[in-house]
Amino acid sequence: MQENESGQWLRVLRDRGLIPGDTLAVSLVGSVAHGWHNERSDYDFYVVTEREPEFADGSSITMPLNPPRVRSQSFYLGERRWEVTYWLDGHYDQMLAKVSRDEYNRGVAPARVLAAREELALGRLDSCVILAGEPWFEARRAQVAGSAFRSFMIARSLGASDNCVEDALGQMKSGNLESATLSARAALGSSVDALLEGLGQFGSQAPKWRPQRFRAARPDALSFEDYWALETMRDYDPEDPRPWINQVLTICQDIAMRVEVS
Amino acid sequence: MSGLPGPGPLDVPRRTLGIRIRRVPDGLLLGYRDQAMLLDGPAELIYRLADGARTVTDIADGVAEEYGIDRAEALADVLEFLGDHDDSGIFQW
Repeated sequence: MQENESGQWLRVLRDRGLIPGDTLAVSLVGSVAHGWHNERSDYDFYVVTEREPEFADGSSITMPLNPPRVRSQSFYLGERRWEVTYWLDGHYDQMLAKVSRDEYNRGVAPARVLAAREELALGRLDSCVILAGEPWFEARRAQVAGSAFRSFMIARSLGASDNCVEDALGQMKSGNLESATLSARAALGSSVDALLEGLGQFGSQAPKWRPQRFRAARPDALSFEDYWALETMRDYDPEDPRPWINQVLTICQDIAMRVEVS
Repeated sequence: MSGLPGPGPLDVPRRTLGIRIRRVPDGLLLGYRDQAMLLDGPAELIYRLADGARTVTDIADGVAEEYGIDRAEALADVLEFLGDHDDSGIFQW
C-alpha cells in the first residue's frame, strides 16, 4: 500500500513538471509522513536538487544559506493542498556544517544555530517517507548521526527551559502567579522537547505534535499519562497555583538529569 | 534543618529549583549563579535522591543499596556530603 501511494505521489509531481532533471532525492514529510494527518492536512514534499530549479511561478522562502532561499511550488488536487519545497544538496552541506562536532565543542550558542526550517529539514531526514533517492538519504542520515545536531537541539531546549524556570521562580517570589504559571508551562514544553529530542523525536518547532512525538518516543523518564496531566494542567488550582508550578519545575529538573546532552 | 550544626537523619533535603543541570558522560554538571560543579558516583546519587520527599535516612538507604555498603556507613557519608554542601545553595531544607 505504502509503495503504491509513494508511486502515485511521485507520478503526480512528475506529471506537473515539479521534479527537475538534476533531482537527487524526493520525500514526503510532515504529518502525512508520520501518519498523524487528517483530511485537511497538506501533502508536504521535499525535493533535493543539485542546482536551483527555474520555475516561472512559485515562491521563495528566505533562508540563512547560500543561495539564501528555498523555492516552493503549491497546488490543489481536489480538496488537498500539495506543497513542494526545493532544497539544494549544498544547503544540506551548509546545515550540517553549522551543527558539526567542531562547532559544538567550540561553544556555539545552540539557541540560534539553525533557523526553524533548517531544523525541520535535518530532523525530517529520519522521519520522511522516501519517494526517490534512497542512497542520498542513507548518506545524509549517516552524516546527521555523526554530527552534533542532536546535542545542539537538546542544549537549545534545555536552555530555553532553564530560562523559563528562572522566570517562573522570580515571578512566584514576587507574587505574580499568573505569569509564573505561564512560565512553568513554557518550561515544561521545552523540557519535554529536550526529552523527546534525546530519543530522536525532533520537530520541536511544531508543539502541536508534541503528544504524537511523545507517544512515538515512549520515554522512560515520564509516562504519557503524567505528561498529559501536566500539559492539560489537570491538578492546577487557581486559588493556589504554587504546588502545581513547583511540581512542573521539579519535573523539568528531573528531565534535565535524565537527558544526556552530548 | 532540624538543628545545628548540620543536617540530621530525619531532615528532608531537596534539590534547589533553578539550578542549571546537564547530564554529561562523566555525571551531572550543575550551574548555579557563577559556580559550576560536577557530581558523579555517590554524590550524583545523593543529589538525585534529594527530591524533597525522602529523608536523609531514606537517601542513605538508597546509597547503601546501590553501593552494597553498610547503612550506618552510608548515613555517615550522606550526612558528611550534605554538610559539606550546606552553604553551596544546591539543596533546600
